[in-house]
Amino acid sequence: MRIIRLMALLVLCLSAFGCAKMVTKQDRFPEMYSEQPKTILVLPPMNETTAADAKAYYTTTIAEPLSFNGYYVFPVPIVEELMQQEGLYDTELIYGSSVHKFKEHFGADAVLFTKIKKWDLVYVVIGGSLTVGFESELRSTDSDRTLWKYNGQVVVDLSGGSGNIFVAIVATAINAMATDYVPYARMANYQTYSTMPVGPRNPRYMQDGDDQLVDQGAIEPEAVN
Amino acid sequence: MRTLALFACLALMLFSLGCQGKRQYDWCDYSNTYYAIAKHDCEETRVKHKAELERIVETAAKKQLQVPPGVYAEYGFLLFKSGKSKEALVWYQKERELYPEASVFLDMLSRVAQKEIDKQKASSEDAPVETPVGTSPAGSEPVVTQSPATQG
Repeated sequence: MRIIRLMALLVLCLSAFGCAKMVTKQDRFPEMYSEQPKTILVLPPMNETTAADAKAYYTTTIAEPLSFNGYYVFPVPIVEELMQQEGLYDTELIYGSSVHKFKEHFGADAVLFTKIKKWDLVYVVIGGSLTVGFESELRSTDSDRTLWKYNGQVVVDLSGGSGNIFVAIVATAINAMATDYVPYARMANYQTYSTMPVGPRNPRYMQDGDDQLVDQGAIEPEAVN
Repeated sequence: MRTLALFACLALMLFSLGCQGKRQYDWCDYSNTYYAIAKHDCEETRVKHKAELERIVETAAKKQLQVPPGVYAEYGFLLFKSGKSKEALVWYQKERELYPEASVFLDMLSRVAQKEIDKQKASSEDAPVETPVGTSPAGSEPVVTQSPATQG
């Protein structure tokens, strides 16, 4: 009996690994380790969803996970205000051009672009689900090259009763306050940014090269000039 | 055997909980108060967010953690926007000491604040005022040595 259980567990473990191709951080994002950026400037996200709120949720939850990753994150509200003063409202325009100016003016080593791809709230009779999807990209202000890129998606089951304590709490929360998505945005952020090689203010700096992550394919070498 | 496994599980749980508790920074309720501004920008939400920044600084002192990046600077920027440029410089300097990698950014913010101070000084020199400095105990200390000659 015990052996069968053990076998089942083993199979489960193997299948979990087998489904997704894994790659190490060092192999996928070598330039993070050679350029060693210290400071990150977060640009306002590009919102590809119809949820107008998604942008605000993203902007207000992003600094935390990045700071825990060991980077200096320029205060998002100040950056936002200064950019508006300069007439830079459109991140899409910046995306297509050189980001070297952020080195000159802010001393930023890298800028973070994010596309919000999905923000779907589906209500069923009891509960429902929320899907949050991001595509994030860190670009060097020195070389204009993409240093790190990852897509993150979180599906939150809001139906409760799934035996998962966390989901139950979340479900209660959403019942109480149907529009508060901050925890989910934060969750999506944390999940996505755990794939980023950590920065100098994290104790594991330059030691996480062998960490495994689900392979999403090579980052296209983008020539932006 | 079973008890051993149970112990292992328990240890793992405690361990993972322990890790969570010992984080580098404590951002308190920053996301939520900032979000409140994004959603509804008014005096009330701004006051709350500013109070939250103060709470982050206090919490860091209490828990002996580092103040998270950007918090001192953001607080200074709020002071600057409410006309307290001199105090703003003090907070920018705090951020600079804690995060020297942000000095280009903080120099830029300091220059803007210094410009404002010079402007005020110039206008107050026209009208003679008896007590020019020394109103607030923390804010008016000459901590920051900024050269006002850098701007045209």
